[in-house]
Amino acid sequence: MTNLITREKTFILEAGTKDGALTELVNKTAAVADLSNPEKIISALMHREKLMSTGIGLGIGVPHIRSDLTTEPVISMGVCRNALPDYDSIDGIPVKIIVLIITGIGQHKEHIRILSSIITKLKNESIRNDLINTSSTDSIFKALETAT
Amino acid sequence: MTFLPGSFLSSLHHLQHFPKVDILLLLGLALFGGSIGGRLFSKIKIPQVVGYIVIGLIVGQSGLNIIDQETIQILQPFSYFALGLIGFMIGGELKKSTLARYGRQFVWILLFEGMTAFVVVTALVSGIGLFFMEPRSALATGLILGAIASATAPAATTDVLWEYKTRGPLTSIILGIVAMDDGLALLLFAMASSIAASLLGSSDGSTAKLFLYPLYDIGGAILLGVTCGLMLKQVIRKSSDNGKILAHSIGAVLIALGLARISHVDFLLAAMTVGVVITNGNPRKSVEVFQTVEKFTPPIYIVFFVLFGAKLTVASLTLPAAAIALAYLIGRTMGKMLGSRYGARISSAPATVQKYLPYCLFSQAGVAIGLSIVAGQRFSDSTGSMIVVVITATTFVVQLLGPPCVRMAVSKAGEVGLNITEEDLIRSTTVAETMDRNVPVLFENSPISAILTAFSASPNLCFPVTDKDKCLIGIITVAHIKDVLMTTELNEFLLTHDLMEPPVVTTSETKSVAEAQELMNRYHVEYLPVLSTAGKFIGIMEKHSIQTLISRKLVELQNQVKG
Repeated sequence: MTNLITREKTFILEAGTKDGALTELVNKTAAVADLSNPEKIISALMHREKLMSTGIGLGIGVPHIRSDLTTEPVISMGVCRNALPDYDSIDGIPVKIIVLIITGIGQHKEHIRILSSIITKLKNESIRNDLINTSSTDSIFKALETAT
Repeated sequence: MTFLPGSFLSSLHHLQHFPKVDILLLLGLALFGGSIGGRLFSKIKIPQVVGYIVIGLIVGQSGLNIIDQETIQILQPFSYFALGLIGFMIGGELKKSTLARYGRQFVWILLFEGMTAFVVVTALVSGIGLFFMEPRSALATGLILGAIASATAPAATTDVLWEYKTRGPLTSIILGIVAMDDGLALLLFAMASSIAASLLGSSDGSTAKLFLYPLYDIGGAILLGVTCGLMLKQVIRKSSDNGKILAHSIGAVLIALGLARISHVDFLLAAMTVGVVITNGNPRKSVEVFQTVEKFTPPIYIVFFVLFGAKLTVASLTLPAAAIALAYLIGRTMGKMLGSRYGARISSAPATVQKYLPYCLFSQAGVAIGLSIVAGQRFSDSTGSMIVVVITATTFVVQLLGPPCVRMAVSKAGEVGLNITEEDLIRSTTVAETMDRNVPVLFENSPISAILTAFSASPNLCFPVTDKDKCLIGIITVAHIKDVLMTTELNEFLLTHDLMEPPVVTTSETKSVAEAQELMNRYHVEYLPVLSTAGKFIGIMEKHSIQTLISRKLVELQNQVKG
């Protein structure tokens, strides 16, 4: 998965709520990636979450949008120090791993491909457990390396 | 100055002799003013050709005299060119199938409308003439005017048919009659002027020549037209470039016109024959030829009719001339109406032809004026000048009243708007008439299953995504859903929101299909969402469905023509 998520885009998230965690992840990502308007990204993500939660079960949340604020895919991962019970996942399990996917407005195919690739990989129990039990960005990246 | 060569000095000297009004400026003004006049008249439901002629009258010899006799003379070849194009286009309508279908009717109607006009005008004018001149002169004038009365001018009549895109039996018969009755007029004129010469004692013993001339005139024109037509047919056989087809076609018409004028044969008939040869010699290619030439003709026709109006002089009519002109007008109108009605009836023409053709043959122009001038030269006494005055004055009246009558007749016959090409339909059809108002609407939170249901249950290839207030927020196309079908594991996590794209461009229902197509091409999209004036989504237009709808409309129109 390191071909999708680079080391500097892996984070430990301190927030204890869904909105807080998403805001924190976007701001941290914007600080290292080419994202000019994090507020707008957060607003678009919140709108998407209102339509239906991106909590896909098994403790994983995949907030994703296509936006005109980027022309290249921006993918980052945050592991929550505390699981988020308010994420409203389809299986009701609190979310611990959040993968943020932002692609360009015209990157329809890439968006679906990245989403599919990440969900497939995170369904692997050992990778998932490695990520859930991690406590630093280094160990997140190590876990991702094993998933390639 | 000593350094300037002599030729340069002489050219500077030459520049001092500019014409009073530049010809190009005049043509520009005629075109511009004429088209404005046409548009104004069209707004009050009068054929545009009347507007062109009225503008001509205003700027011509009877009005402001901006276009004077000298200018008209200089531009005379231009009028021949316009008439040649009109002839060529009429020839294009005379297809074998039309002639086979209406041939018998053409002959009967032509004979009756021409002969009845001849007989009635001769009788009436001779009768009225008895009050002002001696009996021989009255009969001679009656005979000549009777012969001239049989001619019907094609230009103003066909212009109305083309303006209103008419199609059907009445249109076919009108085109056939106006194409052929000049021949009858020439024969009658030859006969009448020979008798008139005997009556007036001015026979120059050239009666045989006078009778042979129409045969030479008609035969020579047909021969010339066939030759130029075959030449054009050969040249355009493999050409697919519209520009080249246009150049070859115009070239062939001009050659036919030029040779006809040099050989003193009927140039209109020559150009018409070129059209007949092309439409029957290569029917498939001819569609392209006539469509291409048709697009080129409007400015030529406008200038032609403006010049025609400018040429008309409202002569100071004496009482005898006014009385004879009135008798001529009444006699010609009655003769044409009765004759065409009777001819249509005995040839079992369709009911609409029997009923409305009598209103379509009033127009009189070039041939009538030409013959009156010939008569004026041949009978240089008062009879000759009387004929010229009467024809000029009555041409003025019938050219203004004829086109509205044609318009009324073709619209009552239900033939208006039936001669429509795919291109015309695309231009005249609005988005409102072609858009799909029942396209399934998706919402941002509609799941993938809803999109799949929409695709499977409707023929549309794209679907609008709106909010609850019907404001358009996106579009889902078949391309979007195709990507998801390959990744079924995502189906339960994805929504319409994730797949839709924002609308690239939208349109309104008042726009034409042509404008909508232009937008689709410019933005490289296959669809156009249609929004109301309040910005709400009301329907969608898809490229693939436009063709189906336009084809269906064309078939409906063709059925109406057949019906």
